[in-house]
Amino acid sequence: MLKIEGVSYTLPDDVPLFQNFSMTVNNGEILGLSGKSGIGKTTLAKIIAGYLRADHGQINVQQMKGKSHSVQLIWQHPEQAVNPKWRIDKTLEEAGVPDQSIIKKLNILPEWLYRYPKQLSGGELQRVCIARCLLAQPEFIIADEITTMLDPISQAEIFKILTEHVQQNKIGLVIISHDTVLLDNLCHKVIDFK
Amino acid sequence: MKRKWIIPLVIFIFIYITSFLLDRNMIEINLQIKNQAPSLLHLFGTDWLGRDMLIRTLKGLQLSITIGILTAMLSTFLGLLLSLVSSVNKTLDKIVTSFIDLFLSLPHLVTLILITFVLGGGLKGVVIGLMLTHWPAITRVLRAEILQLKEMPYVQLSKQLGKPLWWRARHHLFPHLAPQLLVGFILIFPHAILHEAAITFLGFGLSAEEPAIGIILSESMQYLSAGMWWLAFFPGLSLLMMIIIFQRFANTLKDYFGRDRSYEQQVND
Repeated sequence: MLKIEGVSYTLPDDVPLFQNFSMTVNNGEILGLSGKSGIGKTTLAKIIAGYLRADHGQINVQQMKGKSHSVQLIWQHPEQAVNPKWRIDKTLEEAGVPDQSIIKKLNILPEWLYRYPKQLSGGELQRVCIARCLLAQPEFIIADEITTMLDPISQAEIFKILTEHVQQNKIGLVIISHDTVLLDNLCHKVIDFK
Repeated sequence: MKRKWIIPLVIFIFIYITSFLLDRNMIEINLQIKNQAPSLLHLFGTDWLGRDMLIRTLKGLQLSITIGILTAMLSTFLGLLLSLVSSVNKTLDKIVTSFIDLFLSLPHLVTLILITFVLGGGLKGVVIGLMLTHWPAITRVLRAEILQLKEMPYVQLSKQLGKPLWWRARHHLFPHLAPQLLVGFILIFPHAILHEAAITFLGFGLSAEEPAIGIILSESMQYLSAGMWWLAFFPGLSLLMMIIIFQRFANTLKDYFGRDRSYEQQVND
């Protein structure tokens, strides 16, 4: 269970972004997080995944030294989340031994593995990023607007694969999105972030 | 594509090795043939002691190139080291940047003369002096590059995947820094040689019996007014040619490394 209690974050110019935020994610639960632009959804995601440190509050899952964090974040822009000088196979190997079943499940073709990130389209690259996230074997996944740049068909396809995998492996999933219709369709519970 | 950087490299190495094969004793004093203009027997002429200028020039080039490569490597390495140090935390960054500002605010030659003079001149003094004056530019470039890379999601993500610091430096930072290192090395090399020649010319560098280009040039000053132009012309021209050849080689090598590998079949990097 991922427990976030009383988390506050203040921007460097002393403007509080959000204060005293709490939520709980159970294993196998799909949680939606919606809210207006610029109110700190991505910052919250970064705090939970360990990229940033909160000013106050507690999160019960922390990174062990030398191991991958059990909360993994999937970034909004996949082209920034992969090293442009690496081939795709190295990008995947960074997270762990490439599991063929996961690679196949995400429709990643074998010939992509020898390509560079700029030779894949945005949607293809996002599937690679999701595969990398799953290969790290997290207990919780935060999907931060992962399908904003995709057409509805690819969007549905990606979420179908992701939600199936999450349910099978008892992984807690937090989906951050503006799209309330999408969240209502996918999530067990939707939190309006204020 | 490969031929383009091989040819200047071969010429460069050929001249460098030839100068090694020449024995130091071949620079003998022969007063019977002193002050001769260039001829078939002595292509670069002879000096006021009857020494063959071609052999002296080749030996001088050997010394200059050795110093150039050595100091360029040391400065680049020092730059890499300091830029990595500055990336650790803010205090170290402040210390490194103020050192960069300090060294950049003084003219190279002044600091160089000061350091070489304190170290007592000679080869050691010149090399250390050159190393300590040529690192700031490359350090600044590398520091900016590292600062930018550290903000990239893929580098931050690597930490969350549990990769240790040295692994991230080797696999994430180094591939992006390598072209900068190469460019820095290429830029420092001729600079170091010319500064070595300059400081030797001014009399703070190598001792007078060393066959360095700077020594040859500074000695020839006294004889130029007597019309012995070949004493300065050929050694100076050879030094210039060697630097141009080296830059030609290094630039094509840089392009070769930086080429688009996307559509190459080779799989292992």
